[in-house]
Amino acid sequence: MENKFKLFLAMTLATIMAISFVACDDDDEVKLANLNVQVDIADSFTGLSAANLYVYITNTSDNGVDSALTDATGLAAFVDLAPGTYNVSAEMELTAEEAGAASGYYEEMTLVGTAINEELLGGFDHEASIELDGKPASSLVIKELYFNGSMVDFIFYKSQFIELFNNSDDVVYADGLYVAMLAPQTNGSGTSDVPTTLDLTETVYAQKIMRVPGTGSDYPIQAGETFLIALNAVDYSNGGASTNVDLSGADMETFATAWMESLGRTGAIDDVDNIDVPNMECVYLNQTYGWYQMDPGSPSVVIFRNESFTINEITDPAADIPAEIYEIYAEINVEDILDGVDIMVNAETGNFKRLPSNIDAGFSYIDGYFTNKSVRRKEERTVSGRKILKDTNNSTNDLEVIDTPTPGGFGN
Amino acid sequence: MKSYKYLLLLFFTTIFSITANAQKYQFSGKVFDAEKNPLYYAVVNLKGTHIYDLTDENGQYILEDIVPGKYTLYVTILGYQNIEKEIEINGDVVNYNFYLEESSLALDEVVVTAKVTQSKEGSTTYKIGSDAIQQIQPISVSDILQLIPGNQVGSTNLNRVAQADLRNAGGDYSSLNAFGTAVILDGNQLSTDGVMQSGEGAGHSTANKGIDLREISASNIESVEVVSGVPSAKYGNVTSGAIIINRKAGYTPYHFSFNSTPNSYQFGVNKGFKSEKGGFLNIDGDYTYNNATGVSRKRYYQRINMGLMWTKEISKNLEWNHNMSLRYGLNFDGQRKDPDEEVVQAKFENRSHNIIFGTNGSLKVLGRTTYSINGNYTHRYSYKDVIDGGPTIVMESLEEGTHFAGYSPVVFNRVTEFYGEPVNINGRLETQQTFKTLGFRHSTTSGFEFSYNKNYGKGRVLADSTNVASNTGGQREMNFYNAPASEIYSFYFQDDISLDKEKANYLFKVGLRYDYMLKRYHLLSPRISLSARYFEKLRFRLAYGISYKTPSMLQMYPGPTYFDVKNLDKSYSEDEARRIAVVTTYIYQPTHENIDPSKGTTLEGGFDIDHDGFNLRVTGFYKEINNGISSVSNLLTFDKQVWDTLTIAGTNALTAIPTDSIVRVSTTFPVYENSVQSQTQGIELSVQFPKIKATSTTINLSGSYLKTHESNDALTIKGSPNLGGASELRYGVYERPSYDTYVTRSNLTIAQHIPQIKLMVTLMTEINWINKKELTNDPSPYPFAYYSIDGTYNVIPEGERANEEYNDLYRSSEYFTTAPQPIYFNFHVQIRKETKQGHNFSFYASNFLWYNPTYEGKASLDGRKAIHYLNSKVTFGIGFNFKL
Repeated sequence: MENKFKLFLAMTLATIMAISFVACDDDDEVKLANLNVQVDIADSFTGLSAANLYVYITNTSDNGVDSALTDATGLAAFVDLAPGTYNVSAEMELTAEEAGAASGYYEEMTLVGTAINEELLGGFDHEASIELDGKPASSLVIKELYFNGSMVDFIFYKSQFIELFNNSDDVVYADGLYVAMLAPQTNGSGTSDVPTTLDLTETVYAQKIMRVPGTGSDYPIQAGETFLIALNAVDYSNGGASTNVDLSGADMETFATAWMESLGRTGAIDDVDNIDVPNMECVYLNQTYGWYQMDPGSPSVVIFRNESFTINEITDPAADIPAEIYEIYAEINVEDILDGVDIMVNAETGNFKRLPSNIDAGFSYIDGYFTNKSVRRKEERTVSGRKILKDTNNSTNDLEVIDTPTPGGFGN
Repeated sequence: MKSYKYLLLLFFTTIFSITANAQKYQFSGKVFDAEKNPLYYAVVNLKGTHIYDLTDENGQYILEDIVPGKYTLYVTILGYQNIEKEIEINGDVVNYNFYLEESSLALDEVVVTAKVTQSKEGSTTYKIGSDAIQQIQPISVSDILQLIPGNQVGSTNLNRVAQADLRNAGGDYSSLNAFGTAVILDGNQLSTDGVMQSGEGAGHSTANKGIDLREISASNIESVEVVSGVPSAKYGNVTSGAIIINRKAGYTPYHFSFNSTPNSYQFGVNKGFKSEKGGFLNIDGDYTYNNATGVSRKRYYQRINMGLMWTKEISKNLEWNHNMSLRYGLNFDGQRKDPDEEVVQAKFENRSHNIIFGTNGSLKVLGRTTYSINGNYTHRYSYKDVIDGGPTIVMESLEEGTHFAGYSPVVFNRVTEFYGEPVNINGRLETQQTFKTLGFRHSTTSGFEFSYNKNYGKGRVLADSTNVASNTGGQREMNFYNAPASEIYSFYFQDDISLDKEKANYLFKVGLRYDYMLKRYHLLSPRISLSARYFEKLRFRLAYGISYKTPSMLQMYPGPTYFDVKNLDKSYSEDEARRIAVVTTYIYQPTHENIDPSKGTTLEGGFDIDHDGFNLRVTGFYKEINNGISSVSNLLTFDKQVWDTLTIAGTNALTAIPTDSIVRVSTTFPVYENSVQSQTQGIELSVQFPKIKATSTTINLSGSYLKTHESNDALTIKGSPNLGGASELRYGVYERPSYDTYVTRSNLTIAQHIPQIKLMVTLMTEINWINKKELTNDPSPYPFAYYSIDGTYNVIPEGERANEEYNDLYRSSEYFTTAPQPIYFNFHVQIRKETKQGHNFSFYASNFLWYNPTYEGKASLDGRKAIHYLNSKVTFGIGFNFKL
């Protein structure tokens, strides 16, 4: 056994010496290069270490790849590289928990950093740096839902609004974004309510759908800014009650009357069309008489994008007994959904959820009606003055009930 | 033309009846109390005839012109036990004296249930006497009707309109049934025909409904007679029986009454003064307060009733008795402010002042002539103040056309006031004769009656600039005084023919009534009844009658309906200079002048057995109401011209101009039609078991089985029931469902009377056997036609109705059925104790066993069932009645 190993070592050594001899032949003509790559992590992620990461370099002429591990300081050293042009890259895979801890985005995420076209000259030591950074899947989130309404001045639900928020560090365009209020209407508050038998894994169901108009770049939402969609763009504090919201500065308002009348239906008497605020496009509204009012007890809202969205309707399969009136819903693909929040009528009605857990694993609720309370997404952190809101896809954790609505901001 | 023939016939019959003559006898005597003091002003009457007399100061009465035969003699005076005696008169009788005992629980005979009687007012009548009334501590007449077989005993709720619902099981059109029930108060037929206030706060309106019985205080009532069968020809403008209420008239001591339940109390006082110059003056006053329970507990009701009644014999020779009364009533529905409420969103108030002046009398001219003339005036004010949220388009103009309009503020009040002044004047002149021809005794009645209804109210008044533009049809100003009066002129004749044989008595009543309604309807109502009695033990009864009820003035002259189409979309701005609204108003004035009176037909038969204190009354009946008026949907389509905004050059301000684009908009709205038919079949049973003498216990069983079939000929117009979210609406046209409703109830009353200690305890077991509603005409779930949104009517061929393209119009009838109620019981106890001085103390407990059965309702779509509670909670009431 011992002898065999010694023989193997001797033969290996001989082979290496022979190869080295050949290499030493060229040494006089081509000088090799060294490269130190410093890996850093973007400011919006904290608590992450750049140690023990593979850094890859790719020769742009022969696509040869080399890699090196970073040391404790994030430095990866490449020695004796053939001179030429290289692309440098590194990745860091984060689980949802790791991502959430580092950034507030509780989503599986890959941080990526690249340095393109690094030229390495033979005989020199080179330095390169890359910054690892990543973005959550959804940069637009629902920031606040004010559905509960106010008794003050008997406004009731007329001052409802849906507010979106750009949770990324880059501009996002709202153009073409769909906003939907989900079905079914039963929410556990009635004695005869039972949870829907609808399967909610691939599709969810909507009663009302509207869409932000625009051709692609008409309605930018800057990083850390809100996008306010008011039921009516009206200053409801005008009646004298300062607790009522001023929605006159909304980015969008809903107005269904004209569309409803074109279909032979009737619009709501309270649906006001403010000339100074653009209107959402009406897409779907399964009522004879109505508007884009949310249920003041338990609306569930999603935002989704699908450029080729077509309405596919189903009748409520729970209604297997023919009823005088059965509900007709529009289907929305779960994979099109950017963000969604499930709102139930109270803490006990969680089995009436309208969203699958990969969109919203929990739900939020407000006790009572017309309490003027609002449901808002919590702040996770602030990065260079920009708020990042908590988005773990679980409304139970991400949303909080606030005493007064805060359209356009956070009330401070 | 046809009608004149009948008038002539009527006239000749009357003349004939006066001239016919046979030998006639006198019957006289005196009426005393138990201490042999003469009783003044006691009524001595031969039942079923016009013959009666009032005793003079010496208690003397003389009945004259009596044709020979068997009679029931009836002696009554306020405060004393009545005497009813069968008697045969075949010659002059003198010194036939009566001794009346003061009403008291010390007496053996105390009747605490409704008694089925043979009455000249109609075929099946229930008489509820003062003992029965006292036992249940009623606050209003509606409480007294609980004693009618088949009616449910409920706790007093004065916060909603209470209506009689005689012989009806159906629920959908019960106000139509109640609208056809006449309520006659001291000879004055009350009327809601002129009430035009609808849509007032809290739904207290009696427009198109029956008399609100809660307005009639029960504290001064001597007796109530309910005609549930065929009323005699004397009664018109009726399709569903009559309730005849007689107030106390005559000498009484001071009576103070106090009744209280957990949510109401009532004080009453009445007194009958005997005047020096003969005659009586009765005064009464009553105050009632009731608080609503449950979710509407903020609401309350107040009632004040005051009355004066003067009775006098004007001429002894003519036996001319004259009666004049003046009554005032205040009824107030309102709501208190909850201390926790900062602002009350909706306030309402309904206040009505009601003045009745009535005079009537009878004198011995042309047999006996009675006359009455009554005036009813009500000033009803309703106020509704709703705080509304804006901004919403409001307009000042009430004209048809396109108008510029404005926006309301964020919060504003909408005030609607109603001023209704319905006036009813009714009068009657009637003669009665009795004569005998060919062995038949005739008692005839011929009369003329008129009723005049008009509303002098200002009507519905809206505060300026709060006319909210509504595209679904709304009501605005409407004056009542422009609606023409509703008048009815009637002649009637009735002959009650009796034949007395050895073992049998026959009574054949034939009546004919002619009504001239609304200046265009000549209506004839025959009323016939036959009763045959054998061995004074067994009686068979048969009756048939037709009657008519005029439509209410609101049904004939409903106010205009306004539809506002908003022409301009982009119209609101926080900047007032840029705020502009354009509205086109369409006014639709329904013309309902072709609405016909509704028609009631009743056929009934029955038998009575009377044997040794055992009384059985069984009546089977069939009642039909045709041409009932209901509110049904119609479709209207309008043009909406689309307007556009323009910025005024050099400013920020906007103006609007019309464009060429026109959209058709449609909406449904209600109109009145003679479309409801209802048929009720039923059996009424009343059993009085012989009194258990040893224990002085009486047992009474009463009950009724009712089946009502209700149908509405009008079609249903309904916007796509299954509307997709982005598809066009259309209006399906469907058949209506019709229903059979079954109600069977019985009451077992055990009255334990202990005369020695003047105590009466009644235990009532209410058994609810059946209460169910069945769909008899299950309409097709598919429409047979539809209206598209431009208003065009499209018939769907029969084979295509189930096609997929009409899926949106599918409308299943599963929705219409309800679950039947199980059999359940309810137990009530009433205790009355009289003191030595004649004061009364009473106590009742409804549902005293606190028995609250439940049942499951129909399964909803998902299979769940709602739980329904069948009995109300246990309720107590106490009452005091002092005599001074």
